[in-house]
Amino acid sequence: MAKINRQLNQRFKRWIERRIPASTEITLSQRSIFIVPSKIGWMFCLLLILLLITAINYQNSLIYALVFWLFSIAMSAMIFTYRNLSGLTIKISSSVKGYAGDFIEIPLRISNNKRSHQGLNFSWDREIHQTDIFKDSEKEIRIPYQLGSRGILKTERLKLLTRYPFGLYTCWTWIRLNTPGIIYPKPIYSPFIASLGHGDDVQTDANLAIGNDEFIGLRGYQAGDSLKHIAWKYLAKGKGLLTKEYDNQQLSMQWLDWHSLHGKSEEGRLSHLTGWVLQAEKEGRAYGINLPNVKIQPNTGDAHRDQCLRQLALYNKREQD
Amino acid sequence: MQSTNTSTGFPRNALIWLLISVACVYLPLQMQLPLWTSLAFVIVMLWRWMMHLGRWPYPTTAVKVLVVVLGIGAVLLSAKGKFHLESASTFILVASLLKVLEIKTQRDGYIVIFLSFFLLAVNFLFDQGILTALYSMLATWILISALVGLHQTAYSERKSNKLIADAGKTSLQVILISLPIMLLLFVLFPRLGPLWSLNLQSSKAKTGLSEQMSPGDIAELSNSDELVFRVEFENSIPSTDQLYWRALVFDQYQIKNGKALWSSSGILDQIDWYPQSWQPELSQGVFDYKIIQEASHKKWLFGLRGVAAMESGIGMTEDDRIVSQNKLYQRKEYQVRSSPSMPIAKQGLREFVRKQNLQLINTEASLSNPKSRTFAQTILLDNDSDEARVAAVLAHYQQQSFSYTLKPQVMSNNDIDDFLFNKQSGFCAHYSSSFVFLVRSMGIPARVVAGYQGGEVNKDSGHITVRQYDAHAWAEVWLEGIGWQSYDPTAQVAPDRISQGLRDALSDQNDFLTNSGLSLIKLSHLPLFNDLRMKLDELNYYWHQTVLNFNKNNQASLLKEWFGNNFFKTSLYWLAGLFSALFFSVSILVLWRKPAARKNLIARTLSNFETKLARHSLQRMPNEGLAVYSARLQSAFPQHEKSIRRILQQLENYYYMNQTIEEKELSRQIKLLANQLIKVPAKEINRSNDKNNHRQ
Repeated sequence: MAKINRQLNQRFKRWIERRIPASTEITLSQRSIFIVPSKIGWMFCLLLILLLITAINYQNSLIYALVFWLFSIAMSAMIFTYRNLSGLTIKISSSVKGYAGDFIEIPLRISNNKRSHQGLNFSWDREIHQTDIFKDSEKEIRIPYQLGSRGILKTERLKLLTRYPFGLYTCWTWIRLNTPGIIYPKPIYSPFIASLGHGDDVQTDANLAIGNDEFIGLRGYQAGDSLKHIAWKYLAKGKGLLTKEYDNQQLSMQWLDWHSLHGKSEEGRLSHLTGWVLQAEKEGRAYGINLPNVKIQPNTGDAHRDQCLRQLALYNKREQD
Repeated sequence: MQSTNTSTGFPRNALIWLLISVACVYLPLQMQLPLWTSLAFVIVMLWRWMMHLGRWPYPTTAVKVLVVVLGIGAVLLSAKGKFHLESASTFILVASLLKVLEIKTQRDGYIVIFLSFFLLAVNFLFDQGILTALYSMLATWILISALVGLHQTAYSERKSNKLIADAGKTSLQVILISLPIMLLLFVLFPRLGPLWSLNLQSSKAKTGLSEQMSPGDIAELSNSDELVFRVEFENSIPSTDQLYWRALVFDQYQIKNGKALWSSSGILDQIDWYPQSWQPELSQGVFDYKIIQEASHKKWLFGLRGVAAMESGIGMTEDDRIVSQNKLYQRKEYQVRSSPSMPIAKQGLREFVRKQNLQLINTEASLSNPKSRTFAQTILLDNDSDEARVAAVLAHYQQQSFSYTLKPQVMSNNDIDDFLFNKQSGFCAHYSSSFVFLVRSMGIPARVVAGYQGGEVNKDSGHITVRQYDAHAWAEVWLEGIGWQSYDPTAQVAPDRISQGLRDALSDQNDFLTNSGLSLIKLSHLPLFNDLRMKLDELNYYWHQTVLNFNKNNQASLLKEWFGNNFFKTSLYWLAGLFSALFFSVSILVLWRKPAARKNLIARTLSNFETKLARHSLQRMPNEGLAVYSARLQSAFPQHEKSIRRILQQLENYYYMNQTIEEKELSRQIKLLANQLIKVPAKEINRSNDKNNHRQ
């Protein structure tokens, strides 16, 4: 049974992939809209049968008329429910970025040209966002979404469901939107481990030169401070964890090195590197990354950070796209 | 389908529509249901509205239980152990009122709307007039609007009055679009006979004639302008003074509880059913007519003298009446043929019939009404033929100063003596019963006949409308060589009553229709209003003819007239084909549905947790983060602060940091926490809830 289900499921996925292919903008039409009677629709059907029996038993023309009217309303309701989705245009309004496993909101732009659409329920998985849009307008909505693993963002099908206006039918669509976006590795914040200088190009002098720098003072320990800079003597005296600060431009030139994290898994290394990048950027130090296949020269700034994170996100992922 | 937040969310505007719907459905029913339902209705509406405004708290479980017990108790008490249409509708009404009180979710809204539709249909069992039909169209529009309101966006940025207008507009559209299909179905849908006969019926005693008549009874009917039946003559209409619609024949005179009563002995109740029964040939002086009789809850039907049953299910009694096989719980249309001039029982009466029709009170035999008996003996001796004797009795009414009134004084023990020689003022029941008494005292067989007399002829459509105030009683006397002969002593006193109807006969008295409030009939002396009334009556007549009376036969003949012989069958095939195609395509869509994604264990436990805490009104708000929720719970349950913080932190880590956890263990802990939290008495939770509790 489970096997048959899986097969059917596979077949259905292939079918829907052909029927509603991925795109960045979609206008809903009969190709992409599904409609079936809802649970309440069947209840309504029961009510009609009950009323019909009453009409027959009491030979009451007006109850007959009421039953027929409600029945014909239920039939027309199909068109009304369908029209509540039909003609609606949905597009991705801007690119998104975030860290693996994060909850983010994906901005969508919905617009229409002919009529109002109400009681629209957008959902990617758990959270449902309900909204409406009125005649000749456009609006931006943000649908909660949980990011998966690092790499180029590839969203699942977005479900858009409505029972408006009468609740007798469930009308829905699954649209695949090509959402431009990138998922960075999930950062792990850990103390920085200096590069051990594998390879010719790695300049190790920044780390080696520590002893020559001018000591300028102590400050409170922050996560990520090098163990070499910790004022161990003060710690021993029970004055808490302090870090020695040196006035040296060269010191803040850090190479965040893939190889210094040996012994960890590939994803683990990327997570640690991501954590280091974010920390270094926060502390205003210049940093560069050194991955087995790519190297980015030390620098600072948001653009630099994004470039580094992007490299980390796409490490070993290129061939998949 | 995956369950969604919308199934629990409830747009605020929808409540306004729902309250209007319930009010709209209740309004016409209010006249049929016990008075206390009005009180319950007002209380519920007020209460729910105050809740909506946030002034009054939601009912707690204890209050709800109390209200339900009160409601069910009231229904049972007012039903007095009997199950009839009123008690059933009261029950449905109370159920929907109770639901209104606790409307919180969309599901509650559906229940209220569905019950309202049912009540709307129930109202048609009580009343089917044009106005009711038009009103129900309005109610349907409001109910459908409520359904639309229920599905609008829960937190829309649009102004609420605009949303309300939107809902109204959408439902108006769908209602109008659906009208043609409704009419089509109304005409084409095959009409069946009742599926089973055990129908709930109204407990209200129908106004109208009853099987017993004591002098003064019929006068009460003059207060009612309720429709009894309508008649349509095939060709010519007999003159008004010939229109004596016979329904009951009373041949038994007795005294019960000190009151004189006329009733039927039942000796002539042998029924010949159509087509075995007698039928006159259609010739000069024989009338064919159709009667549309309103529900009377009785078996007797109406017909002029010399009546014959003309369709199955109708039979003839030996005392020249027609009856139906079943009680008339619905309006009934039937064909009748009458030959008013035909002699009845000309060849003689059987002995037991003769005896019954001469019977006066057995118990006190010759003691009652001595003056009347003496008077009858005088007439007997003064005249030489029975015909002359009856004529002399009739003449007596004319000569003496008898008067016709709807408010006769109460007669003393010897009621006929009192009426004939003292009060001399009465209604048709007094005249007919005293007349029969006098005639019987002379040894001439006589009986009282009750029914309706006259009716209003509509000049445009030619039909006759007979209302309750047309109720009448007259007499029949058996004369040798002639048979049963009709006599109407009332005509001697108030000839207008017969030729023009009660309204004209009493035009200078204010007794007519005293209880019926504002009635157009009261204004009928104004030509403009009378014309309007006639037009309305005609409209009502066509309404009854075409819509209310649209049954199997009418349907068949209408379709035959429009489309020829075989159309009915073909149309059925088409209808069936259409629906099976529709059903087939829908089921294919259903089968192609993606199997609903099952919620994982943690998600299910969390939603259980939230439902449990909803009892303390501490469920998670839409868009509320776990961290915020955790803080809120911590302040509500300070004694469990630590465990709440720990468990919700774990949940957050699970959801937002993809931390792997032992799902079963966490789920167990969440359940434990929920159980601990709901044990905390409600008043300890926080201050705002505390206040609510005091107010209840």
